[in-house]
Amino acid sequence: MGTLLKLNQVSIDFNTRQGPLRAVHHINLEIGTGEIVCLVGESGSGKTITSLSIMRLTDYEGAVISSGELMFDGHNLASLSQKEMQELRGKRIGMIFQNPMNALDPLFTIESQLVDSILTHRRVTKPEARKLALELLQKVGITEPEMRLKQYPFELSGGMLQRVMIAIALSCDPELLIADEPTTALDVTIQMQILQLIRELKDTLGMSVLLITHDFGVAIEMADRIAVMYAGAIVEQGPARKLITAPEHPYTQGLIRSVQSYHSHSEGLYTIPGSIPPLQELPTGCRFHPRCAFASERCRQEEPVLALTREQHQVACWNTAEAGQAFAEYATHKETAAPINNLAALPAEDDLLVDIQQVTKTFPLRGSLFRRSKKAVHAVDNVSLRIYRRETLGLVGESGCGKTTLGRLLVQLEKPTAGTITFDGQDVSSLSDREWKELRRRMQVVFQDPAGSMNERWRISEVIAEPLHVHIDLNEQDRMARVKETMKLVGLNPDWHTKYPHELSGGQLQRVCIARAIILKPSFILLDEAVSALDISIQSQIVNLLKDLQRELGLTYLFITHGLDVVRYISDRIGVMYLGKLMELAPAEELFTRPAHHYTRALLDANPSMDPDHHAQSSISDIELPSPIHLPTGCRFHTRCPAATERCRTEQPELREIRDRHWAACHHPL
Amino acid sequence: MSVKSIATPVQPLRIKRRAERRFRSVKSRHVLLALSVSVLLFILFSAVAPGWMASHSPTEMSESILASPSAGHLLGTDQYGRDIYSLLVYGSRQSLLIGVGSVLIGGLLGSVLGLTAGYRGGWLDSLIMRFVDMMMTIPGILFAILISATLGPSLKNMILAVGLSTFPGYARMMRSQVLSIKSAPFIDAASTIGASHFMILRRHIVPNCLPPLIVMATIGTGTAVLISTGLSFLGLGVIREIPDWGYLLSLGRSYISVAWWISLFPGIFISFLVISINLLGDELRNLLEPRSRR
Ligand code: SF4
Ligand code: SF4
Repeated sequence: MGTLLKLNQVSIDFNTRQGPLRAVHHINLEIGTGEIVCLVGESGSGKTITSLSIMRLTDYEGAVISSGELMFDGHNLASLSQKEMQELRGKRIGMIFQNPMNALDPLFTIESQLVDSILTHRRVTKPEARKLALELLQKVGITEPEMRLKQYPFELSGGMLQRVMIAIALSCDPELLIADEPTTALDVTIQMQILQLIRELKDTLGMSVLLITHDFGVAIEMADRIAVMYAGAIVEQGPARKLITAPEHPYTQGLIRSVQSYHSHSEGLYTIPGSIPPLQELPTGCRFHPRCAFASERCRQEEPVLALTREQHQVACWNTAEAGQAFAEYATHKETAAPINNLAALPAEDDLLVDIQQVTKTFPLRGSLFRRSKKAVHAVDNVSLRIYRRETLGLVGESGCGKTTLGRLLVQLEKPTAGTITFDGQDVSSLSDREWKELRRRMQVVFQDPAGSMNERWRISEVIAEPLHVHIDLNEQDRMARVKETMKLVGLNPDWHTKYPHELSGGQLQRVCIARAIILKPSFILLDEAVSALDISIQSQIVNLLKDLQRELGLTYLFITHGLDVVRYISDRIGVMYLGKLMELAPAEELFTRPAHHYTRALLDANPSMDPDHHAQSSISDIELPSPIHLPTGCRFHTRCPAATERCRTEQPELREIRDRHWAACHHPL
Repeated sequence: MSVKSIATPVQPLRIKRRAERRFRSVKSRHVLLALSVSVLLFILFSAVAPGWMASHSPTEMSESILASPSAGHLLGTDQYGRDIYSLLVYGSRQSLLIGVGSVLIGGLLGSVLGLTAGYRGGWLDSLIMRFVDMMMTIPGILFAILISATLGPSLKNMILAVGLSTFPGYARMMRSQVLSIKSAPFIDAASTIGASHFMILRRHIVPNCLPPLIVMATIGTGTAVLISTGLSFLGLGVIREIPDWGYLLSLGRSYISVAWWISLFPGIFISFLVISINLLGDELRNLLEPRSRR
């Protein structure tokens, strides 16, 4: 296997007003012909700017390749002119991005964009290009390709658009495909299909792939080799399997351990302390040392460089022996730890806090000026759900399944079209304004985007104190005391109360949101994708915090997310939603080990795991999610269900208890 | 078209150009800003204490009528022998009053309407905005002419006329601003905390709407002065002993071939005022809305 691309001691600087800022430092990376290499890193690790440098798109981002060479098949990409690069880009190197919607021109049909791309790179006539376009769409697995060609980007779903992007990238048979977080914006079942497609294409076309991702699960699914980046440097790289089972760099170990601890039932997730330093404030010596458990004096002084530790495996660390040993111990210990059956440990189901009864929410579609539209989006359809005091109820599902709407209905950010919601015995829709305000004190919300959910012009103390302003008459001193006390409780330095939101990191901001939610000592908190936007090492810290707070304050959570690992770890019971319907409801462990609904099964199968022996797969028929406007008859899942029968197509299954506390809406449960 | 150019179509170039522009203009921007602040300060002083700034009394008629600019009469004299420079100094108060007063009226009315429409939504929104649209189709100057023609010339009516002719712009801006803030997650957060509508408006929405409003009002002052001079020029202004700038401009019209300075200097003063206000407004925008800076 020859080497196709070789990055040799590449450094990239951003040009800032204060002078150059090193974003990527002395990177060595090789990609062989027909190989998939994954570049894994959290946000701020420099993985994206590295991938852009290969296309020399760094020039447009105000960055320069300040040293090193990028050898692509004998050319040094760093010294080519933009014009010469244009020859390579799209012709020999193709690229796909996280958000295909932004990458396609909304004003042109899929066909014209595809044909354009073919015509610039190949010497073919227009009709030939049309034929090729059709073939390409078939190749990337788009159903009804003739129809799709005539459509505009907004008419296609995210998964299909990503396929179109891949088709465009393939239009000139590139030797190297760079995929920058290609599936991050997609649902897990669709993600699996796209990853599978990339793998198949690699096999049939023999191209090389550089996959950029933050998700170790995806990397393990895909990679032949993995390179881990931290704060602008590669800290470890080697063959995928060995890297996962026996990592030697403390950072890699930390990441892997925190991901794996989601599957254990230990008290608390494994976390790496601290957070990634900003580029301006890189520590001396090893850039990881402030967060490293093995840091020695040498680490603080001298920067480690990548060195071979075993065959094809390079690590940048002074204390690999110690670190490796520690991980080996952990690994054996982990295998002996028996999973506990938590059915018995479930909170008692006698203390009802929230009772959602047959709630429906439809959003009417706006018609034109002269014609009222009768169509409507059925966001939530006849869902009943109970939440007991002190439990965590997880709600999972893919985008558009109605989980977020259900949460918003519960806290009355939306009014239900039908059905009742009872909170602690009170029907929330019948309350007077004053009673409702009282109730608000006891139910709080934490949203996905912490920065967006606070007024950026306010100081942290004002943000946290807002509920106090609304509900309790306190003098300035008492209020500040409460704020500081709460800040301590959520692990924030109380001295930061004068800071503004933009001075804090994402994880810290989410702590601020949590502080604001608990300052009134509520009994219920809705966590709407509250940890989904956070990096894995930060995410585990926040999940631990939520668990601790629940125990200390006796909180009840409704935890809405699309992240299966998190929901399994944090929830007592889990509900699975699909197209506005509750499909399955069961205790967390039961749901993950013995799913009864075919949709749940498909979700679990598609979830990339940390186990290199276990490949995620798509057990779903390759059909896209139906639109919530034209819902399928009968069981909503029948269009994609591998076990669908005639009965499923006509008769809607009711939710029924098929095992102890295990409910499913399926005619033919697993 | 390569994959790349499809993939990142406009962004890179735009970033590059913007960076260049920023680099080139930093210095000249500071000079311009200093200039416009001096102009505004000069006019402000004139309005507050004209006696200090003027070289003659505005009512003093000298023998030399229609004298061209000279050491004795810096900007010349008009047909009554009044000193143009001093007339301009004394006239500035009225121009400023009209500018600021009408912005207060137009801005206040417009913001209240826009705020209500944006926050309430529904039929009230449609009602208000249709009304605003209707007003918008009438050219501001025409509307102002209509009002001052019906109400008669006076300072109050002039302010009212100019103010009413500019409010639709404020209403529209305010409404779109409110709509974008209203959909931000922190508004959801505030309402789940239990904050009342009044509180949300007062503590979140209005403060976040203020910066663009301030910018618009600043620039609007210039526009208002322009409209008012237009009205004065057409003879719909306030006829007083001391003419305002627009009226002076129109007075000079009949003598333009023999005494160009009567018209030219008021014209220059008006342009300087408007340009300075605009520059200041732009600078304010950079200052108050950090997000638009990059
Ligand atoms: S070099 Fe030192 S600080 Fe850096 S990862 Fe290794 S042991 Fe930790
Ligand atoms: S009811 Fe039928 S279509 Fe629906 S999940 Fe069960 S088997 Fe599949």
